[in-house]
Amino acid sequence: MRVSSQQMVLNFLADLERNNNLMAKVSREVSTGKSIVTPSDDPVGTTIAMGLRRDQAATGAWRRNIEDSLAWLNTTDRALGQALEVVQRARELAVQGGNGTLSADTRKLIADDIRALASQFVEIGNSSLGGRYLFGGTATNTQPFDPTTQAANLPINTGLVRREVGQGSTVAINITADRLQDPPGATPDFFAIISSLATAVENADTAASGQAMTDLDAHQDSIAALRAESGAKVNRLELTLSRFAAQDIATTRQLSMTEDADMAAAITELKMRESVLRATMAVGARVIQPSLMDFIS
Amino acid sequence: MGTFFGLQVALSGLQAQQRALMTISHNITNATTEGYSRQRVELQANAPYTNPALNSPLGAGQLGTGVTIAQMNRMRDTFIDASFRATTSSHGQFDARSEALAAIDVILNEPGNAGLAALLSDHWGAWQSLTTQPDSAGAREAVRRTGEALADGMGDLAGEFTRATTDAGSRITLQVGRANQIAGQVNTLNLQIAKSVAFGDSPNDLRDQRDKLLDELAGLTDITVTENTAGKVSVAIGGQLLLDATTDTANALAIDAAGAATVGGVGTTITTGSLRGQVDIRNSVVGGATGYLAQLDTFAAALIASVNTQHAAGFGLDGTTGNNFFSGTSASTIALDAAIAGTVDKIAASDTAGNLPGGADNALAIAQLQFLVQSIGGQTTTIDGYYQGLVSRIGVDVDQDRRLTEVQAGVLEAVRARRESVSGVSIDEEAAEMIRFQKSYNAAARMVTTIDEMLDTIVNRMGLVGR
Repeated sequence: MRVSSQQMVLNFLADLERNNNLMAKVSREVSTGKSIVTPSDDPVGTTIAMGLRRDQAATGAWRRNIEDSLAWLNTTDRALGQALEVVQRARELAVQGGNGTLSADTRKLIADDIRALASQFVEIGNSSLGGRYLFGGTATNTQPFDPTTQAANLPINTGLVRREVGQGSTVAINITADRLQDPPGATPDFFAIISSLATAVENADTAASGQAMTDLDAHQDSIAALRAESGAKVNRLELTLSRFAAQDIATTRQLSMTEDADMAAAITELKMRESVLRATMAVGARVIQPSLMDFIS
Repeated sequence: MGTFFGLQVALSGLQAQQRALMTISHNITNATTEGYSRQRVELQANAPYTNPALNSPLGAGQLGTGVTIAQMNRMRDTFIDASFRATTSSHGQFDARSEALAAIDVILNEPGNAGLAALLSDHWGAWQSLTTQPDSAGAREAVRRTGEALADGMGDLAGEFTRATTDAGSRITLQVGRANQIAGQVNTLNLQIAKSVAFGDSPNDLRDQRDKLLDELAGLTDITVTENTAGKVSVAIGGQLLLDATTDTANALAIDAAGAATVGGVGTTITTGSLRGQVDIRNSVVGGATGYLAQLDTFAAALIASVNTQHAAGFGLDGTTGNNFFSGTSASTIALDAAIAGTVDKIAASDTAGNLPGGADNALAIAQLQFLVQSIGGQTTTIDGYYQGLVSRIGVDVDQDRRLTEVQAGVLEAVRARRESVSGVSIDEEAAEMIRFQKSYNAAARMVTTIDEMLDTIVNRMGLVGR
């Protein structure tokens, strides 16, 4: 095939441009550290990467939710522990007050101690975390128990505070005031028991004292059950948290494999392209210069 | 046969070699001119003497009478030209598309932390954070801020798409104007070439000019070129004559806003060429009913509708319900609702009035919209999934167009090489020819000197016996 002078130069320029383009692509990969810089570099990989990023963001949100829920549940658990101690103290005082050998004054003192437990219970019931009342239901800015009347503020808010801890899975993390002060069944609430117990001790009414002690037992069981419920939730959330942590590592790894450049391979290719470019230019310079004109005298 | 016959023969040689050398000089000086085809003189021996007739002189015959230039050949293969024009059209189409889409490819910023997908994730994340502290002004502000960033991001992207279609429209106008201008210029050249051909000349350089214009036109749109016996060419686009050689009229090409092409008012179709690429960009790839902009608007509409419906069902901190979170209907008009922009208290986190201020079930429901599979734009997917589909489509389109452009560029290079092989000037070849003709010229000049000496002998030294 006949090769004209122009063709030699055109070929050289076309090859040079091709080499330059390849060099540019590889050097961009090395300098950004990413093998996917724009979606057209790898459309399928881009979709995968976007999905992984979305998963990472969602998992991050759930982890934050779980950590917040754990704080709430742990604080609730401590409050429940304190409430249990109060109920146990009431029972002790009931046993103490049921001793027939006590004088009226001693019984009065014990009755006062018993009444004091009510305000302790109110204080526990008004526990808060971050400015929100733990037992207030969804009325988180209102005290569930009134310290002056030593009774629950009516109407009791029974709203559930729900948090999402996984796709489509939510956990109700709060215990409402009614469950705190009222065990299930026909048992009267704690304040009513305290009141009747104090009166019974003062009047040495053993029958009423006995009834109060049975009721207090029911309360103890109830609060223990609440603690177990909270504890189970804490276990479940901690398990989910560690699962998310492992998942996050796997997701990050997969994202890196999809998006990031293999630096060793990219740098090697860069050196190779550079040497090819040099060779192209050297050869081109030698080939396009001489012509017959140089040799005709 | 006269005395000075030999002189005439030598003179014909001098003239022919001189003209050949001038042609070589023309070739060499135009070696780098684009669109130039090398020219060759076709030398031919003159009509010999004598012609057999009644009164022809007797003796050995016929005698050669020297050399003449029969023709100035233009080394050009019209089949390669047709092939070149077809390839130029294809290349022009994909090159136009690639260029327009490359900008969009970069603007998308995907995958990454600055693209629309990240803004969307941030917004869903803000709703999730709101579920843990629904009465906190900080959390509400985060929801508002991320919502605003998302709306702005969508507006920016829609603006880019719109700009791409506007640019394509401007290019179409410019290129249609250029195509009509070329048709007019080719018409003028037609007339000049026809005059020259009628005279018996070879208007080689004019033909080169005309072919160069036709090459440029082929890059804009697919054309069919036919040359008639008078040397004029007719140019047709999709069957309609842009330039009619029989009537010497150039009909105007026009492309309307919907992308329909007409030549002289009659409808036609443009299948390849830069105009096809630009029309595709403006009317079907980026703009138009099936374009990226339309898909982005569908995405925005789905987001607005889903969030607003759920948001209106909830209660804000101030106890109001029925408020929208986003306003607008498309990606270019999406914005925060004026009420939300006014106060964060209207953000409806709670599902009922009774659950204020700690209830966050509505905020939870909105956060869960991220995973809600619904029918969007004919696909059954999530809001995030629909956007991912759009990004994937753009990525595939850009990648494909880039590959096709590379392939077409390769084919174009090959055809160009073939054309160069036939029409290109090789300096070495011209130098060798130059020596050949120069030597011939010297020999012919020497011949003249010889005949001159012969005549000198006849004139000055014959019949001088004894003098």
